[in-house]
Amino acid sequence: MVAHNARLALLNRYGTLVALLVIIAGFSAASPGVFPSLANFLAISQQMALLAIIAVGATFVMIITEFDLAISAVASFAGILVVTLLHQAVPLPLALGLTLLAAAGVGTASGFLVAWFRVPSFIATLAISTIVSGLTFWISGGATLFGHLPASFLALSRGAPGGLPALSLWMAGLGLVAAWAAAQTEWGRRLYAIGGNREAAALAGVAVARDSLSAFIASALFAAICGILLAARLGSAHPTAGDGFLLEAYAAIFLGTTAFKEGEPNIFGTLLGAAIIAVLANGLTILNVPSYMQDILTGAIIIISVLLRALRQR
Amino acid sequence: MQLATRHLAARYGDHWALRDASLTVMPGRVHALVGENGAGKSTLIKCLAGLLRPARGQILIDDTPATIAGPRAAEARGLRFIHQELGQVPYFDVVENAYLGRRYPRKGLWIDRKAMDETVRQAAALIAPDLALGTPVSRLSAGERQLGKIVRAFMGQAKVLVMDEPTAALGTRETGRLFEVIARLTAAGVAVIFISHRLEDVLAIADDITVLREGESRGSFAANQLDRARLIALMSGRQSAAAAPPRPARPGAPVTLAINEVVLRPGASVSLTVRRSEIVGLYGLLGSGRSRLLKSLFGAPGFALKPPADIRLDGKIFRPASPAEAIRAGLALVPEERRSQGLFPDLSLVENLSIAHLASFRRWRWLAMPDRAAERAHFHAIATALALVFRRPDQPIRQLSGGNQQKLMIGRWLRRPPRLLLLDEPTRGVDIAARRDIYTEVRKLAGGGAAVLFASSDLDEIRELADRVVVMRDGAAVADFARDAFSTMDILEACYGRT
Repeated sequence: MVAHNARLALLNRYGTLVALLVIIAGFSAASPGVFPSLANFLAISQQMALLAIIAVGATFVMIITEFDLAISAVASFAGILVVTLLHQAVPLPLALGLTLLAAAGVGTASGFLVAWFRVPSFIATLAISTIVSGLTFWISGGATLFGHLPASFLALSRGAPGGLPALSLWMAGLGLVAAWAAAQTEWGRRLYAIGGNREAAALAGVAVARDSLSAFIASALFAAICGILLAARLGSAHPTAGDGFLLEAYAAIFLGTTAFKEGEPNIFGTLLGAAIIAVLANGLTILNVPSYMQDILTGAIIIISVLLRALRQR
Repeated sequence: MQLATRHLAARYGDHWALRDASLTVMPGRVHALVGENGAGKSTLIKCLAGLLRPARGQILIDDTPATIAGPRAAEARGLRFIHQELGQVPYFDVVENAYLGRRYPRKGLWIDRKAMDETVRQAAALIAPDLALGTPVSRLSAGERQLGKIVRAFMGQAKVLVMDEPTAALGTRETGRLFEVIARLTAAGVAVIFISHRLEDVLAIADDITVLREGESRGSFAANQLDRARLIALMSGRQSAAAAPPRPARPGAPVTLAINEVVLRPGASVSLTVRRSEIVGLYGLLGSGRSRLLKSLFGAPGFALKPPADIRLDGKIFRPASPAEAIRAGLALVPEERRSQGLFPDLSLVENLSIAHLASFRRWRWLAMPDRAAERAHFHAIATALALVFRRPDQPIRQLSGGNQQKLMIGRWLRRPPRLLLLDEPTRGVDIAARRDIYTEVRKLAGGGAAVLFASSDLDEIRELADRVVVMRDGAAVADFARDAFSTMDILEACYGRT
């Protein structure tokens, strides 16, 4: 009996990881020689990187059981802002710094509304998202901004130091830092406490409002990094470039809650979720499955994983 | 209606929470179900409520085997429940919560709110005539919420009324009213199943008593055959423990906490002192301001006091703006409602324990990173000291019994023994064995120099633990008794204002 329970717990923790391996095995069998190659795996890691980064940031807000719906707007905004600044001949480090600062400002605005005034995060961040989108169009005039970008900027996303794609390295580095911050620091522990029981956290001495605010700032910063790297990758910025990330990011996070920490958002889980989404897209593309079918499949897989989790918790 | 169980057994997974329970509840009688936490009382109730399917045994209604498929089936058979942990919708008022899951009265296309109000008002008139029926329950106190649950159970034609810890959150006045209502119901032929840790309540109201121990019924008795000591012996399977040794009085000890005419509510003020190593009990009726005082002292959100409130900690003015500030000053609070104010249900035992003093677990002072090994070592030390029953340090705390959860709520503050320990209902819903461990720990802390101020609506607890009792009424401290100078009568008279 005990062994049986232990096995069940193991499946709870690692079932989603097993699912990824099964999907990989399936694609490998379906298209041997093309799918299972080092080059393709590196390509996948690059394809998932931006999604993973933005989703990792939003995970911090999910940990305190709030939503940040402004992440995609912040990503678009950051891309437009950094390219605009570079076009104004602002030096790259300053342009990056100002962009991150602006994003932190957006995160502060969301966090302030939610943490101090208890505005439901869904509404607060939706409104902030709309405002940020407006600003983005204002700055860009609605146009795609391209050309005249310094090589050092483009290199942020394009190089391959040591044969590893730059984006993959960004993802790995930021992912590890985030995972450490969430799981190993007092800050992360306090965020989980707030998510677990807000009132109890306050009575245990956690500065709930301040820590909640910081989660929104972290989320905005990761979204901005995603937007900057996207602009560097494309060599251009579009005012809606980041829009597609919102739903996929939350899909990755929810997939991630089914892994490792049994029902709670966690960074490695989110990375795993992003990997599942990317592997599916890549494998299905190799198999020439049309993109609308990919959408249907991805949606179905998310539903199945969340259902499995709900059933397990019975 | 007569309700009986025969050799009933039920399990969660591979854990048999109920092994063999047989009892017969007669119409018109109050049947108390007693036993320590984990004895199977709640599990038995869940079977009757249709929330859990028994694995073996039978439920008999009027001597006919019955299957209770779900809560609606139970209600249809005339069974009503006041569950200990039944949730309420926080932004619904008492009326709306009372109608939760029931058919709403209609007037054409519209819900007939007037009829709802009227029905609930009638039910409430019996037990809580001044309960604010139209206020969202999130703005009611724990006791008022409990009254709301009781009101809900009184609606409609109940044949068997099952009450799980109905008096846990109630003050003396409400408990008295509840007992009156129970007497009226039984006179009308309703059978009542009454579950409580408060043996004084059980002995006061029950006609029959069934003792559960380790999932098995250990006999049913007529209540007048039993006294307190015998009951405890039956529940625990051992003789009742000797009374606590009297603690030496320390009249000359320095004053740790001094509250001087602090106004919690217009027209009423509180003055009291707690000395080093002294344990002071705060007794009062529901809404008398005990919890409010403790929360204010701790700087809880929404309760922080502003100048000119004169509170002194070791002689210095002390008005914490937040719990964090209070904790830094050496205070600790074990809150009233463990579930909503204390626990992080999904976090591990270790994480629940170390949250209040996270920074003390750093390996390097400059890096805000808890050292997991140190945390774990600390957990094991606390678990041993408090005789904690658990499986793994990383299991979620929701899996522990109430008593063990409460031990951890106190253990949370043992990392840095507090100067002033505040406890609000320290042993509510906690079994006798765990209660003893908690008292021992509190006395140990006091012995080590902590000043202790605890609120309780359990007179047994006050008698057992307090060196001195302060009685509160309507937001004011109205009486102050030394340990050897108080009697139950004195305290109750102070509560009700017959001074």
